[in-house]
Amino acid sequence: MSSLISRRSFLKAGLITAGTAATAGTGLASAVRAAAGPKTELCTLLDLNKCIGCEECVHACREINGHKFPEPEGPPPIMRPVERVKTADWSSPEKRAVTDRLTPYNWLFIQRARGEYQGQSFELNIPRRCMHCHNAPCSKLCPFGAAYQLRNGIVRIHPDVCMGGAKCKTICPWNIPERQSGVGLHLDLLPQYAGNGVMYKCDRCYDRVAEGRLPACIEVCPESVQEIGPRNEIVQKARDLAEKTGGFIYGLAENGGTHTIYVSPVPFDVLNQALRKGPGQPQLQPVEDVMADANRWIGALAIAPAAGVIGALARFKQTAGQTQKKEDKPS
Amino acid sequence: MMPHQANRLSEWLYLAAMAVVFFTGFGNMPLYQRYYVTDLPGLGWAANFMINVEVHYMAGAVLLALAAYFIVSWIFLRKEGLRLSRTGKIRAIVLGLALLTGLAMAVKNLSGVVYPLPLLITMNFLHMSLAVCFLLLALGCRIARAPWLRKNQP
Repeated sequence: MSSLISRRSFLKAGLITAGTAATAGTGLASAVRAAAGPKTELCTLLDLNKCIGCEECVHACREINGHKFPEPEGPPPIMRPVERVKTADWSSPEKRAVTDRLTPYNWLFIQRARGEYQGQSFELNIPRRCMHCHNAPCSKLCPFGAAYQLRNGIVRIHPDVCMGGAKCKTICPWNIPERQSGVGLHLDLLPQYAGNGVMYKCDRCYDRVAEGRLPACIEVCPESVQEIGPRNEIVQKARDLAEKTGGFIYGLAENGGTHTIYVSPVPFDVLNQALRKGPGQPQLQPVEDVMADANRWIGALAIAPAAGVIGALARFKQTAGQTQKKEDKPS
Repeated sequence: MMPHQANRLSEWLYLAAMAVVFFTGFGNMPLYQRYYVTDLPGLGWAANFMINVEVHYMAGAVLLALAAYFIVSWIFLRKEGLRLSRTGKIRAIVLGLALLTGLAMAVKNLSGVVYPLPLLITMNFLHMSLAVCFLLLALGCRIARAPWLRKNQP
């Protein structure tokens, strides 16, 4: 019955209350409050040794961010050209309930990795969501400015501006954003011929963080898998943890640096091979800085006007020289 | 190089850079794959957004160099009585603003540079609108054979 509180909701409410009280005491929440200033880059550290895969973070994310999820008012329009444009509709109750991959209604999932390393079997649970890159290509290259970065490092996609073209997903090294068709601005423009819904992904509970509160996934975690704080402090903590446990780091250098750092007892190339990968289930490979090559051309853009000025001056000096020669020639 | 050769070269460079900058500019939107443009022979690269942005920068650098070249040339030519025509002035202003907003967008793409959302959206739409305005103006002027320059009457 809908009026009854489910066991999961009850546990979740309890965990959120306990988590808030505990984190307030340990200084985690105060770290976010202190660092919630608009210019401090926030970073999260995930200690994979601790994650038991209980999915409390997944369900808390869905509950806390539920009001941001898409609510299509009908089936998506038939997109043109039909054979080229696929719609993505995750709005049915069965699809909304999916929790084993990223979807527009599931911004965080637990990726399971089972395998063997140095003769010992391992089983690790990896909370996966947007990495919130330092120089996020999605926010840099969105043609409409829908994907953008806050000064605290959070990368967000604005649902009122996004056209659902999925460029952000294509250029994301982890293909994180997920599309919901049949919603968004494009429905008011050329619904069948341009755009295709809205892209959704983790926004690191930007609204809660702005109030100095913890992201939901961090707050409810019974094992304190994640912590959040200023990036330089979190990077140091990740290095210390990796050194202390003989662990491995992911996210520090990937894509030129991210605001999500994993520390694992198993190397990430081994983990990556052990993962189930596919749509909505990202890899854990080393990633080069996606924006690096394009940004090398900034030098050319800076030098170009000077080259033009030199070219023009040289041309007029030459012309003046030729005119002078003509004038000097005895007639 | 003789002045007429320099003129011809700069005109060809200008036309080529304009063609490339508009092609890659529209290619920054996810349209080409949808509308089969990348299926055309030799245009498969346009499906890669990162290559697309690099080519856009390259052509943009050529246009910036030409803009500086023409500004300095215009200063010299003013002495000889050559002036920008009315349509020339409008085109120069629109193109100049499109180039400046493009530069601001390129700076935004650098690591550590963050524009607030209103500025980001404004820059995106300004750059796009100015470019489209210039394209329409340039096509109109070419059809009407309206020149950039006019000779000042003595």
